[in-house]
Amino acid sequence: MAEVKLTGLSKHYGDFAAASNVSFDVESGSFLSLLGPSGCGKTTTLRMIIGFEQPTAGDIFIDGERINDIKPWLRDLGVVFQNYALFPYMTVAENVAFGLKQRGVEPAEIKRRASKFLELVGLPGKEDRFPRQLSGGQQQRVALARALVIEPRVLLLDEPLSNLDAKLRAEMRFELKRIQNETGVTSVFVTHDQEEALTLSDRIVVMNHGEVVTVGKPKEIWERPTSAFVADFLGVENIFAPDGFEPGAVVIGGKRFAAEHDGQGNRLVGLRSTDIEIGGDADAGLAGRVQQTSYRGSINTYVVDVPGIARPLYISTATDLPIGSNIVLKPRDGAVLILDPDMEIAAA
Amino acid sequence: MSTGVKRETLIIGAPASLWLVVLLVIPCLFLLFQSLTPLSGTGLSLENYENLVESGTFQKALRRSIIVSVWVTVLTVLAGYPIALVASRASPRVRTLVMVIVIFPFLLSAVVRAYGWTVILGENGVVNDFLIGIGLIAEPLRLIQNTFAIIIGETHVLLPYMVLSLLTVIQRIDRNLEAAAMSLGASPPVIFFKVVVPLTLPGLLTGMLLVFSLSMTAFATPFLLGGPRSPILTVLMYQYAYTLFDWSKATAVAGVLLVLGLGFVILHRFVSRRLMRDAEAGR
Amino acid sequence: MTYQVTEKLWEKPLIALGRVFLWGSVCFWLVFVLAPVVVTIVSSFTAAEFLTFPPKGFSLRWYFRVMELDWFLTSLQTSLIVATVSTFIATVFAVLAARVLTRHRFRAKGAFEILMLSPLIIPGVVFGFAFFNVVLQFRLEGLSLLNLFVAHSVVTIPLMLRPIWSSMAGTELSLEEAAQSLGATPWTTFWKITFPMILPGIVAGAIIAFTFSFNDITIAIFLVGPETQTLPVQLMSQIEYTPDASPAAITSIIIFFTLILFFIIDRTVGMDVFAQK
Repeated sequence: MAEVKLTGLSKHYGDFAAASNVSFDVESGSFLSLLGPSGCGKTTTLRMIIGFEQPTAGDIFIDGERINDIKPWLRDLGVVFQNYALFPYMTVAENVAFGLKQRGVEPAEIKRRASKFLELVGLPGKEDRFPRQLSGGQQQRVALARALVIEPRVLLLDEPLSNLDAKLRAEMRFELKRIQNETGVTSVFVTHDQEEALTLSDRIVVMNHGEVVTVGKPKEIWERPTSAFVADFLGVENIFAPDGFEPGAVVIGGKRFAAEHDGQGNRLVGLRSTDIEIGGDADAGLAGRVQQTSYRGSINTYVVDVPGIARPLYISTATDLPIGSNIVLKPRDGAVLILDPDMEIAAA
Repeated sequence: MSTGVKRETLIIGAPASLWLVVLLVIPCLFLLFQSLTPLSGTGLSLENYENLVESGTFQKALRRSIIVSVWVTVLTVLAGYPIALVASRASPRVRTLVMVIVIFPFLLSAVVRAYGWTVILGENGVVNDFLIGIGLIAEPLRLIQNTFAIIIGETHVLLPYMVLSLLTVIQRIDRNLEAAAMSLGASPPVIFFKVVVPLTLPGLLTGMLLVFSLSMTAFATPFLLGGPRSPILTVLMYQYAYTLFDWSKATAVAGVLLVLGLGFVILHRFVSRRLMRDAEAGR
Repeated sequence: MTYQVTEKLWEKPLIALGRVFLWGSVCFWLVFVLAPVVVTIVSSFTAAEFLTFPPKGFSLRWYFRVMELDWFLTSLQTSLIVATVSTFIATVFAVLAARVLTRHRFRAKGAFEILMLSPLIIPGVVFGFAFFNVVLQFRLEGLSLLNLFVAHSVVTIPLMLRPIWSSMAGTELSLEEAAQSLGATPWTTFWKITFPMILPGIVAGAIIAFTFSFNDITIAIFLVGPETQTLPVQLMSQIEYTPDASPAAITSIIIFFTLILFFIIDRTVGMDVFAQK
């Protein structure tokens, strides 16, 4: 078990900053996700921790030891790759044994440990198979066993689930969580999938354009996204500029709604489609007209034109609303998110 | 990305680079340098080249080189097109058979091939025996040690290049195009001439360039089958260098060949890039 | 109104004629390709004193005869040594060059690539002459075996580079990174991970380079010495004075071994390695 600390880590390619001033801590034994769209610098950050990229500035510490100048093969880290990177001409057992062999472990002990970890990942008895004889999910498990068997200080995972189909991905997500709990290994997980990050992590680092946007627990980030980018990335459907702010309230479409804010005028507001109530007092709510509907089973999503708001609102509700019907809507209490304007709002 | 060459790159890349620069590039540049320094005068001049261009032997050899290359190009197209077409459309087994037959000679020594052609085309060879046997001729024809033999031999050597270049473009043709043409009412001959042939033109053109240039600079087969009295440029260079020890002429021919070789490579690159761009633009 | 495609009556015989022409010409040219090989092999089994086709009788006498020919055995030995040594040198350089081309980034990479492929750009006979010219300048004619090693290693580098390059490019970088993350040094990574992955490319490249060197006349003709004749050069000069079937037997032996190498290539990397130039 080890803790990881990054301070001001940057990687520049000429004028291009792949990662700039990235700082965060990973507590010993915890699970941290680096979340962001492709090209946000999360993989670059991970590769700097592994040692495949040399940082332009900043430091990486593991248990207080600065490891910037330590060669990748001496860092004692376990890595799981997006494409698994299993050695194709080695059997499962040989793949798992590879790291132990480099450490001079004797054959009997290698065998014992390899089968122990294959059991841990749920693949007992597959020692003599070749990677190509295994399914994607099984290959993923071998890759995990291979990285864990060396009992690394930190486990680093680079989008390990993205090559699996939706059903397997959900299954492997639980497996990953179970295995991480059982081994208690400190883990850093790179993903662009917010659901993966939310379900797996103790803490999430959201990145964009090479920079850290926010750091927090999944619940905090989900319930109180602080910036428009984070909100958008987490699937908040309605993000727009309000008419203005008043003490303890925000003005939308000429109506006041209670919301906590810091009084700065350039903030945006965010509203989840599921956080909008329909009906109620016409004076307290906003009047809207249903433009489009899309049927999604138990809950339908509607596109609603609201005079006074530049873009139509997305509303999810179980109520059946015909196109063209006029409705009254208002945000649930405390559901209006106040967001840093770190993103361009697309025109309607 | 750092612009300087990293130490590791230098350590790994330097040995091969040095090897080729010292043993290939410098010797060739030295040869060029010699071709530009005539025995009579001092300093650089084109005197060797002027003398060479005026000599009848050179003019004949150049003409022979061109004639051979044109014939070889035409023959490899005539042979290569049907072969590539059949190889790309036939069943896998026929295809493999055809490819094995076409490509195997790639690995054969020029001496082996030339010997085979001597057995076939020689004075007592298969062809002459047959023609005399059926009474068509009384005296054996001279089919070897002449330009004709060079053309036959070079066609044999260079055919695989043409087939492979055509095969790459034919295989890249989207079979849906043919299906589309058919659904629009085009009959097989129309499809072949209006759809397939135009799409193979880039491969045909690059293949022709490749065969022509390889034929212009080939040595072994023309040397073995053409004999000393019908030299093409490369053979002429060898004769000047190795039997006549006429260094000023030999280096000048070498200079001409070097320029020809480089010119064809540049032309080939230019044409294939151009064609590739057009093909992509058309998509 | 609607238009209908009308079947043109003249098209049917045309299609049939086209088919006949197509298959006819393919057969003709395949016979053309095979003829020198087949005729040589068949006539090597003649029982007669002089080479004839079709052969008179069947015997293996010429095969036994060539096994007693001194010039054949010594030149075969020379050729095998030259081809082995030059292939080995070229392999080392080609692996290094392929490594640089697939895994390194630097400004002069384009120039490096052109340099590595330059032996294909410069006509072989010109290189042979240029090398011979330098050999004469430094009075190194006596070292003809060494000259052959070196010259052949130069021209075979690009031939080896192609298959090795493509097999290395096909080896995912993440495999090497995985090995390093598991504690393997770059040296171990190369031998345990990269080398096994590019081995088929190396084998194919080595076979192509070996046969090139073994078959070469164009360059060897300038560099052979009286004691170091390679088989093709020796065979070339012997053919003129040998009316019997012993050259046919030697040629057939070469064809046989070439065929074996050809099928090894087909099995390891496939015939596509011949496709690019």
